[in-house]
Amino acid sequence: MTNTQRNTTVLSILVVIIFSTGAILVQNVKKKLSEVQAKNVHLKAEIFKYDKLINMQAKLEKDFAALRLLIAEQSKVLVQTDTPAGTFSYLLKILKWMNTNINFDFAMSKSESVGANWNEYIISGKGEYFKVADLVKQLEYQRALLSLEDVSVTTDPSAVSDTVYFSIVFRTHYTLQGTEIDAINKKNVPPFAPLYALFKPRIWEKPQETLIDPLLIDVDTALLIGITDSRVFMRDTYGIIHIMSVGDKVAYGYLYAIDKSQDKVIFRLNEYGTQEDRTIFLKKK
Amino acid sequence: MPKASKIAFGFAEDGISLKLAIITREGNQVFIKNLEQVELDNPLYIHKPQVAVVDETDKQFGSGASADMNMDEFTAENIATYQVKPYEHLFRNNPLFQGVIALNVNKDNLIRLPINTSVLPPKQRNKLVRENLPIKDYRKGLWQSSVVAVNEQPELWLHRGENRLLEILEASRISTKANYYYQLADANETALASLFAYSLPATAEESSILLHLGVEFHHALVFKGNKWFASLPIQVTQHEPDIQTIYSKLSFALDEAHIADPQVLYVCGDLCNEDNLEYLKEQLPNSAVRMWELTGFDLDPEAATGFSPAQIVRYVLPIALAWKALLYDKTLPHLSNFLPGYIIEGQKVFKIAWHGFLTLGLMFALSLYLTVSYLGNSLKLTEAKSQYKSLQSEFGRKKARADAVLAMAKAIDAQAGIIEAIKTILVGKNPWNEILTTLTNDLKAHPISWLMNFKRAKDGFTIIGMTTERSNIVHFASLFPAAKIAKVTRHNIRNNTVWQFEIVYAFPVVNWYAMMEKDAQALKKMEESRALPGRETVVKPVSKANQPAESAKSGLGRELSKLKTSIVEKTEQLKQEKKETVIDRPIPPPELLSAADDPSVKDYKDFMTAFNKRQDWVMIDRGVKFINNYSPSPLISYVRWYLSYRAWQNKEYYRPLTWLEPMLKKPDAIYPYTLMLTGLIYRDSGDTQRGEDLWKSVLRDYPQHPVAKTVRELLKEKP
Repeated sequence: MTNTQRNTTVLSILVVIIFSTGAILVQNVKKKLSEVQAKNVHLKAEIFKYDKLINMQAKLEKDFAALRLLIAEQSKVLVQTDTPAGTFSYLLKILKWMNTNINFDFAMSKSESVGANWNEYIISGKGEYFKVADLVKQLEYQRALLSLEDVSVTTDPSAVSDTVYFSIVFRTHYTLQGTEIDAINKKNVPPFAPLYALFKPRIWEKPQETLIDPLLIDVDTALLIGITDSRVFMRDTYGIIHIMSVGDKVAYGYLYAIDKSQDKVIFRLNEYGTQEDRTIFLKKK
Repeated sequence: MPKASKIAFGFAEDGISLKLAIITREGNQVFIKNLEQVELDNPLYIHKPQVAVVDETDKQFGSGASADMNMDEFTAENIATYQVKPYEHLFRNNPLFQGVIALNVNKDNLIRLPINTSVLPPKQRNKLVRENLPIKDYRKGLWQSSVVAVNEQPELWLHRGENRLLEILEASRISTKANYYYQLADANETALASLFAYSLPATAEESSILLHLGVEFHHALVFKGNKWFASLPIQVTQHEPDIQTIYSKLSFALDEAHIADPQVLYVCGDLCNEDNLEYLKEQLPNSAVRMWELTGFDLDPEAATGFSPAQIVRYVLPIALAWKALLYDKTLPHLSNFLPGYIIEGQKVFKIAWHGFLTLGLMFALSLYLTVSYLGNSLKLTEAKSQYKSLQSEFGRKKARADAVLAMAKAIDAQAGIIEAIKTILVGKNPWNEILTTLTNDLKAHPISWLMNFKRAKDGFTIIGMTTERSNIVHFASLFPAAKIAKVTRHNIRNNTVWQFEIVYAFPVVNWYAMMEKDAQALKKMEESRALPGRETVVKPVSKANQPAESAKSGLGRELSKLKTSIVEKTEQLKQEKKETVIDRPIPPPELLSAADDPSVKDYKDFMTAFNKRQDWVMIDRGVKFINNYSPSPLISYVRWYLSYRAWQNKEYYRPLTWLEPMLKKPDAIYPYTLMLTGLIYRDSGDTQRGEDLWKSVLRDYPQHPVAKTVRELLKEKP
């Protein structure tokens, strides 16, 4: 092989190397360029989309503000997260809104976090029926979505007023898109209206002593010492003489009538839940 | 292209004498650095087997190499078969690789051919050569030629055959693995004529003769002024001729050439000595006979000792060769070179032929194209990257804003979903206040009555109370639906008759829907102002007739919906498509659908129309209303199932479970389907085990049911 041939061969190899290297470099640059250009096109498209979204920002912000107001005034909301502490705090908040106090035990009984999200709680205690009924109403009608699964109320056998034992099982439902439980404000729910002690026994075997006003005279133990046409004189166990006329209050009732001719007086009493007339005669000395 | 060097080695063979002259150049000054001579065992050029080259005694160790060996076949292995010869010491002791080499060619191998022109075209030259050489030598390329002008008459000097001096130099080069550069292989006459003409002053007019008296090379070069007029070989046959013979031959040659005695006779060569010069002076009384003392040369100061002019004049031939090689230039007179082509070619390291130029051109064009292309694309890439950075920055900013916008939109959407969920959860729930209020009011109105106990029963609630009037109990039993008087017993308290009663009721329906609907309407009003497609149909179904007008109004909303779909829900769609293929077998339609006059059937059909048209909001609205309005209807199960199915398709798991919960408690006609769907919801919400348990219960309890096939497929699938 001559030098010229050798040189040409070397040059040819150089050409091949230059071509290969150059082609690879150019291809790499082109590839990078096309990648960057594709990214740019993609970014432009995304920016175009976002531009359209951003154009709606003012309207959406207005809507969102309105939504917040709406949620604040909404009849019912799902809370965002629920914990026993959160729910207990909410219960205390309700009591505060009710401006009352009911003592109760509190415990969580169940929890469901797959699909439906809720925690189940039990509260039980003793309280006045009106307050308990009002608590039930508030739990049902205040904004946080609590579903009352069970409500049980029973008379307090030792109670002489309208005190009841109660237990309530309820579920606090929550969802991630919900409202923070602390952010829930009060809804104006009228208190439990009927003023009737539903669980208060109306007839009983023994007098309900706790109901007696200690200042009133007990006709069963007092002594009738004198009668006029319009007045009655009675001495109580302490020796105090009470002067009464028709209509005056006594323990469990009032003075109904005076019959001077027969030396008797009639008291109308409600000592056992039903009205009874008690007649007392003046004993002749 | 000759190599420019500062040192030249001139080798001249003359019979058995091989002389070396080393000259150097510094600027315009040329110095003789060294002069050496070796005696050969035999002359290099003898036309018989070269016993001088090959040692007979070595043949017993030889590898069959012969003296006739062509140099092309000569390899380094052959070197070992040669004895070290005197000239090898000459070669090896001098750094030949440091400079250029000049050597002479044998005078007997030269043919002088007169030609008409000093510029001989290659074709004519080849023709002339072919005519004067054996065809075998011509084809082998064993010839070199140069055009030389003597007395301004151009001649083609043709060198034929081998150049033995070159061959032994090559052998030395191969054995020492050194790089030699051969600058010149010249004829003795032209080398001497060049140096002699150069040494004469340009204005010289006198006739002169340079008489070289070597070992075998005896020659007279006739000059007129500084022009080479004639070249006269001195034909002497004896080995060491005496001066008388030489002079007589010179006289004969001059006479034959009709050349008068020169004004000056310069003598050089091995036989140039005082005696001979004296003799010539006597014979040529009209001529000045002088020893040719080379002018223009300075002796190397380091090697000056030992070289007298008488010694130097013996080395005129190698000095002339070395000088010519050192100053090798086209301006030199009598430029000739008989180096073989392959040597010249081999030394032209960077020579490029036409194909090389073509390749170079291609390389240039290619490089230019690739460079332009690369730079162009690089520029574009830089611009694109810059744009990308700018876009990325803009994208980041806008994405943050858009995310906030989307979050708001999603929050608004989610709120609608929450309201629907609340509606669903509250179905059949929270009747307690209603019950207590009713009981309290009613017992108050019917004295003397009170309750002793109030508790939840299996599907309702139970009250235990007392009343003094037995007729009151009948009244109390009418307060709530599905009342059952479980027990009435008589009691006496202080002679008063009281009646203790126990009544079991179903829960009354509390219309929570109306309360929530108020909230939903407020939200819908807001969304209506955004006019998102799909939701507007919930508020007010759009007839086909007014659709264009509506769509014109709702363009912005539709755009938002599209964007949200494209950004957030693309993958959702794919998953949804897949899900639809998993359970694409609908549950069988209820049998009650034939009762056309039943309003519940009509509402159910409306509900299914919305379901089939994928009007989700309409469907949910109608479905929830249906559940509230037609409480005991068996179609409710179907409504609940389809509501749950669509919600599951939309990747909602909370609401469907609340819808399906009552159906799981009370098995009905579509109970297996309910189990299957509930299992699917549990699986997709992450509770795979629970889902699979439900499916297994389907296979266990309803192995022949049509849904069992779907359930088997689902069990094979990975979530």
